[in-house]
Amino acid sequence: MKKRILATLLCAITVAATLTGCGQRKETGNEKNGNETEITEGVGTSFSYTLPGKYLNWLKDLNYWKDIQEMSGITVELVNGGENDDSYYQNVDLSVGNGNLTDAIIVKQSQAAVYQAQGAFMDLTDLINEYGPNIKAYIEANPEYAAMMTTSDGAIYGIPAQNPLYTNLTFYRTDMLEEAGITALPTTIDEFTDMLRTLKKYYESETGYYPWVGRDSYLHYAECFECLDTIDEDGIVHGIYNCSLGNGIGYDIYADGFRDMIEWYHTLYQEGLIDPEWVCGTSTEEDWQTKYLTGKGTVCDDYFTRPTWFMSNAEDNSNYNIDVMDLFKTTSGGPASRYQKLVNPDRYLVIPEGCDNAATVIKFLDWMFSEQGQEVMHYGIDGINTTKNEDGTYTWIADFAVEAIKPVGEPNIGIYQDRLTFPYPVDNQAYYESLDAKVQSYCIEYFNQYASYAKQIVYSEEQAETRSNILAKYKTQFDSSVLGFVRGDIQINDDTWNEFLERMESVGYSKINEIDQNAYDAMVK
Amino acid sequence: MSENLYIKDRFDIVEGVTLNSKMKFGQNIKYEIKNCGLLWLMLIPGLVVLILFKIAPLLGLTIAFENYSSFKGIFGSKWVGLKNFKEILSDPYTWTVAKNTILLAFWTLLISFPIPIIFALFLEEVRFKKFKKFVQSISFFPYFISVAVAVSILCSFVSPADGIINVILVKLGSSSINFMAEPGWFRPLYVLLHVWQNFGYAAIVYIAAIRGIDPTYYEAAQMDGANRWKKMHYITVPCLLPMMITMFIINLGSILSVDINKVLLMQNPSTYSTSDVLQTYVYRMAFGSSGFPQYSLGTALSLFQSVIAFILVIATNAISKKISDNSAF
Amino acid sequence: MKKQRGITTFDVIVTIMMAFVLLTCVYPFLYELSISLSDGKAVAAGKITFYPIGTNLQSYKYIMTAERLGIVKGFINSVIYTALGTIVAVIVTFMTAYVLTRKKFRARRVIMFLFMTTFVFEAGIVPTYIIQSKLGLVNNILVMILPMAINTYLLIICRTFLNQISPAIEEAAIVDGANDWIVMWKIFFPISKPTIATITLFYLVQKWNDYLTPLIYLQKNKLQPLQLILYNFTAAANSTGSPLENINVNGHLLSYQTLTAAIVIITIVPILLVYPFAQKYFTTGLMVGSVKE
Repeated sequence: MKKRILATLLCAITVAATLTGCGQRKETGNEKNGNETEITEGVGTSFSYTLPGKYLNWLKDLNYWKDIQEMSGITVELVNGGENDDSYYQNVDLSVGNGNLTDAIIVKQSQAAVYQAQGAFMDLTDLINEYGPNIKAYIEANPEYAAMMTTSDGAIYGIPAQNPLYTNLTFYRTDMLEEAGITALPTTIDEFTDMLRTLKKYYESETGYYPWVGRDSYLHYAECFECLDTIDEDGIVHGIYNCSLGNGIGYDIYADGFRDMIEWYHTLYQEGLIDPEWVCGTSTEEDWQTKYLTGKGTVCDDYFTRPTWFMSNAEDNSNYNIDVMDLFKTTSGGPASRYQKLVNPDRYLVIPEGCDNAATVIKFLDWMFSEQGQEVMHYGIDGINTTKNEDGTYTWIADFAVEAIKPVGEPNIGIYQDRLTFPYPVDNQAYYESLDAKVQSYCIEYFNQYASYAKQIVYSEEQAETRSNILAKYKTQFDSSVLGFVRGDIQINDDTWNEFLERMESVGYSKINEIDQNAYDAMVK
Repeated sequence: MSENLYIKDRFDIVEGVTLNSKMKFGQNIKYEIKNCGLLWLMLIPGLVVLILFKIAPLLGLTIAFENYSSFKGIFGSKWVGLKNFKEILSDPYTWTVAKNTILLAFWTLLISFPIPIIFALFLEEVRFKKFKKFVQSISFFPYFISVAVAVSILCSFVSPADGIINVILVKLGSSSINFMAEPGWFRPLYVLLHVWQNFGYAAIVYIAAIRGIDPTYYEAAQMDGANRWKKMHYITVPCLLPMMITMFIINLGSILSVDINKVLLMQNPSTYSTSDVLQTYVYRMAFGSSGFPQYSLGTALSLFQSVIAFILVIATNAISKKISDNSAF
Repeated sequence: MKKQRGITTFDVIVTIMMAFVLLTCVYPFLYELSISLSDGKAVAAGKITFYPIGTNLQSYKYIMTAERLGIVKGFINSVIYTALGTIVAVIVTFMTAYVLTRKKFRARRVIMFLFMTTFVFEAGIVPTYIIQSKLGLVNNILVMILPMAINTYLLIICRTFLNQISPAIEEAAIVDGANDWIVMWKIFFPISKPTIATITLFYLVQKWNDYLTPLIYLQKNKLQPLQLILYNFTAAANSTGSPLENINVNGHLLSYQTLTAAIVIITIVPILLVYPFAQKYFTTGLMVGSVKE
């Protein structure tokens, strides 16, 4: 009796499953039977576009969003694919299997490449040739950009958004330095250390005070120690490549400078010049903000608009003032550089296979790449956001201070720094000019002098998969080993250092380096 | 079978004794319809939910045996057999994190299982009705605090600079400890947080059960001169036993699923040796820098965990049936 | 019961334990409440302990009126999903548990086994999504009601309670000629008030707090429940490198911390208000007098 009931139920389940499976296959069948590289007829007047909810809201608040649609002649229907980044990309994965995507959608670079190879997204080459002359011209003039969106067979799998050129910078409380009697700003690492020592001595009665506070990874200034992940002129990849950003992952552990850097951090930790909670990883972003706002820290090396943020959030204290210091020289005495990625790997615009409206999408993007479009995206509408001067420069009319505090829902000039809604060529000067006066006063000079775009590497599907699997292990071992040295749990000497290097090898350092090298070689060929 | 059965026969049916246990197929169907027809009808909503929403998705576990791509779907993705499992099991790092996972789950179960019971027992002994109601309502609160808030509150309690615990420690003469950065403290803190968030909620079941105990038992015991400890020992606890056993078996079923959100929020490089668990490892692989979500690996992993949990549950259920007649199913 | 005279040591121990429980449980709630009522600058400076500084109701005012956030709509959505979902779930669970505890129902062991299996084996997000989207549940409010209509954990609890009810009751009903449906509604349902209150409460809480389901299935803003809005708000604040812009109203700073805390309080309060009502049903001795041994 029991067996029969079980059998009946299992039959029912099998039936249900088969129906599901058939349905699935039918969907994929349709997708594949659809247009492979067929160019769809004619350009329409609107298309639908899926993007994360946050950016959707920014677009809606942009006071010239309607103008953009008018000028390009195409209306865009914005669809919310999810608010938060992680869940947005997960929803993309789920919808891809479902087959009900909009005309255009933002995806990650890995998703774009993988799914295009499987046939989910269109190859955009022919479309661009026919409907996107401006895009085509831009791609031909910028081979590095093109390399980030083309497969080895020459298929274009998506159009990525670009980042403006910005990096972290070192800022400090001018009033605290003045009180401590420091008159000269440091230009080298050693001078920096001495400055921290002076600060520590002066404020030693202040409980919980540490001269240097921060958040996330604490291994900064690798560029000054010359142990950053780089690709040298011979095309050799050093270290685990992370677009020369360091950031807790990208270091050349075999460089002499790396050992020096770890020893330096050990010194800082021992002498209490750096926040130990930050180093140990137990401090959150809020803790850091609180510390810096209440004077429990003097120096930060962080996001470039933070100084204004801190100053506007500090409790009414007229002395609270922040300024920026130059990037220290390298240990060999030359100038150092900081890097930024040109292409944002999380913002690729793709068009699903079988879309009827593909031409419309490309036409719209083409407008963004055109002269008129670029002018609007960088400077807003003439007469409202900026006015064009006779010599071709622009003056900003809109007041940053007023716009910045407009609440959600009110139209504004879109002064957010990473308005990552559509891919279009970035114009750094325009970008800097759109920021508030205080930030402009230090950042333009800083970035012109120290910031540049790093080379980016594109990985194949297997490479990306293997790499992230290995990194998942490597990172934890790297972090805990380095922490052991910095905290003094393990003495730094030749033996322990060799052990460290061996351990990093055993969790896959060279494997990742090899993958990076192979991927880079494939791109350059 | 005739419509009018004698009352004795109907009682027999209620008790599960069939008229003739060797009935034929046709008669079985007739029996079911006649005697349990209404029951089957009443079961239909539950059955629909079971089949559509619980069993059917399980077929998706085949993803663990494939190189799954969302686009190709379950039937279109390449079959790779046990490759995913081999990959997980042959990686030495897996065993480290597996050990952490098991230890964490074990300690969580050991500590967080008895506490709601003890709390329920003592709560029911409070004699001031208003106070009792108040405490019970409040004990519920921590359940609603989101994990992020709870962890940040924990951090501020044990903060080495100005957390209350360290302030007391310093006053007592020892130096302050950065609890969140000590690998040895990770498990106790995790268990503490888990207990704190869940005990009020878990206790509700026991409280309802205690209140359902027939008061005549207590009256009889009172006449025999039993004090409150004795009453608790000889009446409350034994009456609670079926519920306790059931809950224990159920909790075993989720033994290997630690709360990934809590672990992610509480772990940091100093404590990876104890705090890195299987789920966070797989999570990092999926959402890391160049990560592409590993649905296959993740499913293989959870399948692995589920099989172990399943074995545990069946075994414990069988054992408890033998020992005490009580079981979850 | 004879009243005991005076306060015993037992009472003292118990009271101390309960007071300790009270303190630890109430504190976070007070903390969040204080933040939501404080000025953003004081919060950022880390000054809040368990009372607000720079008290103002601006955070609440802002989130109630900000149309883009959709708090009011989200609140209404949450209420609808929770109410409907709970009613359906309680009925279905109770019915299923009832059927599965009738001794004459011979398939009960098998079906219970199937439930337990699905309890232990988690299917994962992807297969569930495939099935539920095939059933048309994406962007459909039924997704909050149907799939979780039976929570196996609560089904087991229900069963355990029902099993403890003496069979003599059922036999008495049968003597009176009642069929299964009537027996269930007229007799077992009223007796099982503590059980039903328990599972109602659990389902209520579960459905009110659920944000994972709408995260995947309900992308249309107008369908989103309150918990999801809260989740999006906190997640959005943390994901980009640039700090979230702050809002100044009448000199009070509304930072994302104060706004988040205000949303948190709004999500917690309704449940806390429901709980005392449910407590009424956890009463003693409903079984007394119903069965004469």
